[in-house]
Formats: sequence, C-alpha cells, structure tokens
Amino acid sequence: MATHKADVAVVGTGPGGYVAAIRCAQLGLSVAAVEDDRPGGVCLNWGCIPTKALLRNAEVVSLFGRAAEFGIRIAGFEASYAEAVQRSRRVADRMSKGVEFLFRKNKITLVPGRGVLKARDTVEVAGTGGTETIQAKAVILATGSEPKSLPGVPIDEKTVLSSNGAVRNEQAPQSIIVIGAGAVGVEFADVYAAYGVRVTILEALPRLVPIEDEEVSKELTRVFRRRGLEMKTGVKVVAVKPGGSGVAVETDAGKLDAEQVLMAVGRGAKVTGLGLEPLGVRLDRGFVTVSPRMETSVPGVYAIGDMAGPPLLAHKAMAEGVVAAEAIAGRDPRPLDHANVPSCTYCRPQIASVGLTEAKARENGREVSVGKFPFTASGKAVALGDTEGFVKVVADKTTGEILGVHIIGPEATEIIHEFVVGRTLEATLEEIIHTIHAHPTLSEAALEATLGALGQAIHL
Amino acid sequence: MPTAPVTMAAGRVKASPLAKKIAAQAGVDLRLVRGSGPGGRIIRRDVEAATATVTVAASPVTASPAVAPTVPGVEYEDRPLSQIRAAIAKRMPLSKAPVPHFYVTSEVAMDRAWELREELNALEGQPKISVNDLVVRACALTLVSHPGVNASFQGDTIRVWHRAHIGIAVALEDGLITPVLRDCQSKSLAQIAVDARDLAERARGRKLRVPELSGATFSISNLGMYDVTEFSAIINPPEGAILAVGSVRRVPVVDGTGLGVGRRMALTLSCDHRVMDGAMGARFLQDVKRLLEEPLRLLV
Repeated sequence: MATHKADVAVVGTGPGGYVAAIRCAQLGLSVAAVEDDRPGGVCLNWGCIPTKALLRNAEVVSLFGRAAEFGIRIAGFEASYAEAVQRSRRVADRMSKGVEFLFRKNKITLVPGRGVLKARDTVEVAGTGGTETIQAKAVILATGSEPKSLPGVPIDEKTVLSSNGAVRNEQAPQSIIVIGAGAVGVEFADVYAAYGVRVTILEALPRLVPIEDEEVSKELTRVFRRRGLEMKTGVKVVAVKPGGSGVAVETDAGKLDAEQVLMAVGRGAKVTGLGLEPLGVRLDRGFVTVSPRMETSVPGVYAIGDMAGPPLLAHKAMAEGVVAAEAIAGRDPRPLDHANVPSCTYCRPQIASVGLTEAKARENGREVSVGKFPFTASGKAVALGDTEGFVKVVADKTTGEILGVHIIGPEATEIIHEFVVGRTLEATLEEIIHTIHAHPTLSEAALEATLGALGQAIHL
Repeated sequence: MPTAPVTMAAGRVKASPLAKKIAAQAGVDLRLVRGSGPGGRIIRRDVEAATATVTVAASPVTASPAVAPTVPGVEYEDRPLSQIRAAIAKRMPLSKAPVPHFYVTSEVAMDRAWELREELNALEGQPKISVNDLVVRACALTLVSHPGVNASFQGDTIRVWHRAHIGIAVALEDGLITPVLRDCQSKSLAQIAVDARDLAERARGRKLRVPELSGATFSISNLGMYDVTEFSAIINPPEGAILAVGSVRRVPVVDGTGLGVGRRMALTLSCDHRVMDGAMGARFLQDVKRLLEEPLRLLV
C-alpha cells in the first residue's frame, strides 16, 4: 500500500478541484489530486464543454437550414448526429488532456481511484491497482454532483437517460420527452430539435427556465414554439414506464410517449460514501456546510463546488477552489459573493443573468426601474441575422444600483460580464452609460437597456 | 486655535460609486465610514451600516427631512472646474497642504440683533435664542444665496451642496467635535435654537451617533463665550469654508453724532482657495453681516 505525503489532498478534479489544486501548487503547496474518472470532472468530460460542442453543431445545422436567407443555396445536406457527438468527444478529450498537462506543469500528483476520507488528514484511494493513502495537512473535497431522477424512475441510460447518457449517445432518438426545463433540459432540447428529433419539454413549474426572469421564459417559449418544440408547463409527471414507442410518461395532464426520456430535473451533491459521516462533517439539506473560507465543520477539511451548495455551476466551483487554496496557504481570501454569480444557459437564443429578477426585486420591496432593449433594434444583431431576445436591466430607482440583468439573445453569455464586473465594483447605471461601447456590437444592447432604465434609450 | 474634529484624514475617500450615491442621499460623511472592501474601499454595506444607526437614532436632528421648496430635490450638483480654478486647485495645496486657506474678516454691528434677541427671549413659551443661533440662521440663509461657499473640492469637480448642513463646533474637555445641524436652510430661528441646544447637550453627554457628526457642508466655530475678539478657524475638509465667531463686545463707536457705545462682533471666514476666491468669501460675509445688522430678516 503506497502512501503519499502532500500538503493538500484534493478529492475530485472537476472545475473546482483542479483549479484548487493548481492554485495550491502556485502558492507553494505540494498537492495530490484524486480522480476516479478523467481529470476535468463532469464539466470537461460530460457536461459544460461537450454540450457546448453539441450546441455549436446545432447552431451550424440551423444556419445551414437558413442558408437561403443569406443567398446561399444548398441542394440538401446531411447532418450526422453521430459525428456531432464524436466531435464533442474530441473536444472533451482535448480539454481533459489540458488539465493533465496543467497538473504536470504544476507538479501535482494525480492519484487515480475513488477517495474516501479516513481522518481529517488522511484520504484513502481505492484504485484499480490497489489502495493508496494520502497523508495531507489539509483536504479539499470537490466530488461534485450527479443527475437526479424522479422518485421511482430509474435511469437506465437506454430509454430513460440522464445528461450523462445523452451526451455520449451517438444515436439520436426519433422523439424524446425532456423532463425539466432548466438549463440542462432546454440545452438538450435545442440540440435534439436541431437534428430533427421530435421534442416535448415537460416542466412542473409554470414556465421554462423557471429561475430566470419571467420575460426571458416568455421569449424562450416563443422562439421554441416557432421552432416546433412541444412544451407543457405546470405539468406533474406521475410515472415513467416502458410503453408506446419506447417509454410512456404519465402526467396529471395526460399521457405521452416517445422513444426516449431525458431526466433533467436537477442534480444532487455527491456526499455519500466519502467518509463524511464518521468524521462528523456537517451536512445541510444534502450539501456540505462550509464557512466563507470553504472550511467544513471539521477543521482542515474543505469542501467546494457543487457539493458545497448551490448554485451548481462550474465557475462558482472554480472561484471556491481559489478561496479554499488561499485559505489553506494562509492567505486572507475574499469570500465569494454568491449574489453575483452569473448564470448562463447555452440554448439558442442564449440566456444569461445575474442578480435579481424583476419580480424578486419588487418582492424585496425595492422600487425598481427597468430598461429593456430588443436585439431587433441592434444593428449588429440585424447584420448577424440573429435578432431574437433582449437585454433587460433591473435597477434600484433611487440609487441606480444594478439589481439584476437578464439577457436572452445572441452571445448573451458573453454580454453579461460587463454587468458582473460592474456589480463587483458596485457601479451604478451611470457608470455603465458613461462607458463607451464599441459600435456595432451586441454589447451596445447592454448600454441601451441601461439607458432605458434611466429613460434615456437612444435607439428605441 | 479651534480646528476641525481630528477624526478625519485629508485626501481622497476610496468608495464605490454605489456607496457614494447612497451616502450622498443619506447624508453620511464617507470620511467617517470605515471601508470593508478591498484595500479599505468603502462599499455599500459600510454605508448602509452607518445609515442604519441614523434610523435607530431618530433624533430631532436627523428627523427633519423637510426642505424648503426652493431647494432642488437632488443633494448636489458637480460643476466643472474653470481653467483658472483648476490651476488654483493644483497650485494652492503646494503652498499650504492639504487645504489652502485664506481668511476674510468683518465686523458686525450687533446692537439691533442684541435688542431683538432680548425681546425674543422675553417672550413666554418660546425657546431661548443665543447669538450663535442668530449666526447659524444668517449663515443658512446666506449659504442658499451663495451656493459657491456651500461647496466641496472634489479633485476634478466642485461639489455644490443644495442643502445647508451646518457643523457647529462644540468644545469638550478633550477636544472639539462638530455635530451637524441638518437642513438649516429650511429651519426657523426657533427650530435652529431648539435643535442646536439638543445637539450641544447630547454632544457634551457623549450621546451623539456617528452620523450626527458627519455630513456638514459648512461649519461655524464660536468662541464668543471666551471673550475672544477674533480668531480664524481651520476648515473641516471637504467643507469649503468655516466661520469663526468672536465675542459681542461693547466698544466705542463713531456714529453720525459723535462717539457712542456699540456692540460689535468679529466674523472671520476661512475659505478653501481651491473652491472659492477672496471676493466670493467677502460677498458671503457681507450678506451674513447685513442679515445680522437687519435682524428682522432672520425672522421672515
């Protein structure tokens, strides 16, 4: 049984874990990183990155479909879904190798296998070649999360898929029922629909992307409907059983069937079988409880990323990884501002938001002013032929504080950042409007929406 | 020499745009707020913590939001610097850091004001009026008509305040503090008298809250009770000026018929040369003097 000695043991090398490991190494700590899959975790291998490759394919396919609008006539074309998935695998492989390279560069020891916390300073790793032990002064847990299902509905990855299965499947079904209209659900719905799959989205809450601003949901619904996707909201799934053309879904509003079902009802933290309970690591509602320095209830044991609580987002995990690393290195890291984590969904049109929705801001008793600018009025968007959506800015009426920004439209996930930076610096509407935005850009819509919140929009 | 409260450091206040805005609206002096952001930057929560104490305090001072109708709704406007002003602003601090002072002195005939005060104080059920209350009232009215004096140097702009929050220096055993009488432009003489007394008493009782010590746009320092002929005070940055008030003395005066006895009081205005020039300070002082010499104007 081999024993490693390191300053820090990192369990899990997803975006939280690998960033924490690299930051630790940069700060002069020796690091052993444990991974039972491939470096990069769900994000690089099975989540963010490969799905973005698939969504890019979906975009290209739909552009081919619109070629005539650009005066390009194509006499039929063939879009291979299998090759789209293969491409996404190559993208994921390349990024995963990138993490391995960064580990080598930073002299991080990669210990393959499943890590279990044996003591606050000991991680036991069960690998294919036997058991190894890591003795470390501090442990960072970063085991992430996994797809959840509905009670009584097992995921077999054949007819009932999770995102894990869907991202690997080279064969697209004829029809699919997507249960859950959060980011994962609408992204896969978009990909499948672009490849001609008959898609039905079921959502228990009254609207698509229910955590986003209501107007964003409305716009996405409008676009999806025009593209021929079926959507049923406010619908509760009662049972999922084999039947019909493959799988039958029983809801409180009737029965549907399709070749496959994609379960996109959320993700749960991976906190079991890690040795947390015996050590007394405190949990709260399925997540590990952490301090602003990301330390758990057991001193010297840190937890970051999905397992440390919502939002379950890679970029939040990375930021937490840096905080944990710096805390261990004796720095005084600035804690995360959880109210300023942008949320991005990469369906077309893309969705990006930060801060409060208009409804939530009003609920909080703020007197708000709202500015909204549609991409139909943006020269750049019109030139691109991509005019769906808008930028919506919600601000405090008296101070101009940027309470929330909600973007749906082309490159929404890139445009959002000026507002995130602005909020970090506590900029108000005025600082945004006094920032000259290059013309023509999609970001001008951000400026115009901000002007709109002050009643000064020029191009509307 | 009376000076500004020692709690403040001169120089730029590091604060976020949002913090500045909230502070301006709440009348919080950012110099008295401790910044908890990166590098001690004052951020929103710091100002909100400071304003929270204001709400709790609910003192007569802070609970007087009434503003005269002539005052615009906004707290201030930022006027661009003229070229001369920018040049002065650059040069002056080199000669006397950090605030380049100059002083304007005037003597006020206080005979009529004295009589008026005695008459007012003979009225039953009315608050007692001090000479300082008369000076505060005169300054409040004059600040509104001379907004250039009710102003702060901001580096690349001059912030002209639209409301007159007057700091009133109160001598304590271990030093001077300057509680702030807010919105003096919309207060009657009686209201000023009541509020000033309350502030001074609570200052001596050490019962003032931090927000009550901040946010002045102009200050008055009165050493009249110490039989001081005249003196000059040091500006309390970022205020643009401070008025030093001497004793009301009985002195021989020459009037139309010959030699007589009159009451005279010296006023010395210390001005921040980056904000204003001598003439501006002199005109301000002239109007204060006129109001005190025609004191019925203080009642209307």
